[in-house]
Amino acid sequence: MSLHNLFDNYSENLTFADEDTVITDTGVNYDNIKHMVFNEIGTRKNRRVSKKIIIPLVAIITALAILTTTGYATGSFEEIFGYMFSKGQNNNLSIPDNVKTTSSNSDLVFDVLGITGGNKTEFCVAYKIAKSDGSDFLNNLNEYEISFSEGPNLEISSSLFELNNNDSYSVEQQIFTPDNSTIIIIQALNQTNKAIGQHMDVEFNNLTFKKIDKHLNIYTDNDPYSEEFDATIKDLEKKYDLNKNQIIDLEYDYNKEKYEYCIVTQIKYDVTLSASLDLNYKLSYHKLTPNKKVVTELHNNNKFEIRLDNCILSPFSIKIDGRFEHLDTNNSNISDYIPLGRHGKIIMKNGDSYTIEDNTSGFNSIASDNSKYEYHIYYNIEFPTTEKQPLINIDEVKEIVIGDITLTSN
Amino acid sequence: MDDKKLALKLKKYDEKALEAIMDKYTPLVSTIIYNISSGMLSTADIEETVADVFITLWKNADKVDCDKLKGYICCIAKSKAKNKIRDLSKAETVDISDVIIIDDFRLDKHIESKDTSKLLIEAVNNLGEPDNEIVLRHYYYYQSSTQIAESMRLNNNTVKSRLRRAKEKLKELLLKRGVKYELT
Repeated sequence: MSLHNLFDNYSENLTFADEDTVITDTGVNYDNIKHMVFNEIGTRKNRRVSKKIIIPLVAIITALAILTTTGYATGSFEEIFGYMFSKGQNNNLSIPDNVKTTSSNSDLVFDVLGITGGNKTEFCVAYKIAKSDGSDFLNNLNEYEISFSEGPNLEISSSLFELNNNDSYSVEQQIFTPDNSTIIIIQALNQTNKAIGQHMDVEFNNLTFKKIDKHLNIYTDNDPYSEEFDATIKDLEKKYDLNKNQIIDLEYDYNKEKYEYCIVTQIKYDVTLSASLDLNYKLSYHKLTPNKKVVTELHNNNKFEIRLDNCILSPFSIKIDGRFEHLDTNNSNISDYIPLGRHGKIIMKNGDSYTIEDNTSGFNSIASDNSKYEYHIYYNIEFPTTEKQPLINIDEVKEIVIGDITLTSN
Repeated sequence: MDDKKLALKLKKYDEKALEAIMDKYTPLVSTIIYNISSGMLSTADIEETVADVFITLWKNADKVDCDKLKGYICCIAKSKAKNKIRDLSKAETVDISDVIIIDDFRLDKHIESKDTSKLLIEAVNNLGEPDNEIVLRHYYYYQSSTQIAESMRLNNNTVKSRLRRAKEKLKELLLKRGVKYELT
């Protein structure tokens, strides 16, 4: 071990000299660093939830809204999501197994929408909280912060984000509430190294919603955790005529680089929401035709056509991962995976079709067999990710009902 | 707010505490990474590495000893800086023969080396002024002899010779306490 190594492992605080004596002008931009940090950890400053995670969530909510308004809400979540999601690098969402939820407050309904995220130890569980009578969950208040204390088995990395009841959706707002905010998604990143396949129990306590009612233009250089801060709040509470739901709170002003005192409406729900679920990614594979199997005879035909009819969202891109399952229906066994090659990303909208053509010997050898097969092509769906391009335009999809993505052979 | 209060709030994953810690320690972390990089990292790389330090701190918040927040942050900074240089060297074939590579930062490793750390700081303190400060500036903050000379208003050659003598003395002191290391 070198002397440098010894010092690298030295984790005591040093007091030999003031930090100022060692700090040099490194030219770094502190705002950039702050942005990167809070973007990464998904907290309320800057980007609170990464796009990779929020995009599927937005789609889910939109789908739920469409399903609700079109009377198709009778399907299970799995059926609904089956049309929309498949296994992807980052934006997959699958339905956990054995979901059981309870709410200590009968006014609130708690459910688990699905799991999304990247790997075996870091993933995101999307929860739904709604009023049981379907009424407006947020009481017409905009731009909420939501916070809650977590249960014993969950570490919540993103407990705060803004909601806006009036706008349909934009990336900056991070979340979309389609039916006057009766649904709220809570993104909670599990950091407990739970591997897929394990069981997870989670618990949320004491939901609090906050909305800034009035900026008081009173700024403080004081430490927000100091006793002076508490004293000032008490003074302001006396000065302003607050109703029972209002409090004085602080909001950080990035322009002034100071905390500002604000009057905030705060609604608290003294509730315990519990969920029990098995973390299983197997359902992240969704069939191209999730509700009906396509049985066809190829007979030396080496073409498939994917046609999108009556899709929920349009346009969107579809990425074919280049393989299909080969199920010999005579033997009822999945016998092989046949590579189809990479087809990349294809932008499709309703009515568009795309032909998969492959002349590999493996493909033709199956096609020459007279047996019947089921072909399950796996695919990923991606949504546009640029901020200029709206993720979903609610006006475009309001008349579209849930439909099939059909697979036919030529 | 002092470090202990900040660390307590950080352990509860308080974002404002993390922000306050960043406000306080970003200059120091940037400096350490800048000094270690010796020009091998661009400003953007340094920013990214600094961000990575605080992300790591956040992810390890529950393990932070509230009395050693600054020390932990410095440890993470050094580890991340060297890892960043190592990563870049793989892609760009940078000569890093004089850079010591350590594994990914793990707080438990640092906790395990607590006893060695204690012996080390005792030995450094025994060097006396100004050698102890020169050693810490060089080995802890990765300042060059030129930087140290400027900061402490000493002649550069004086710094180099004092550093050499201090290293030898430090080796002797540590060997007496059973700690072996290479004189680099």
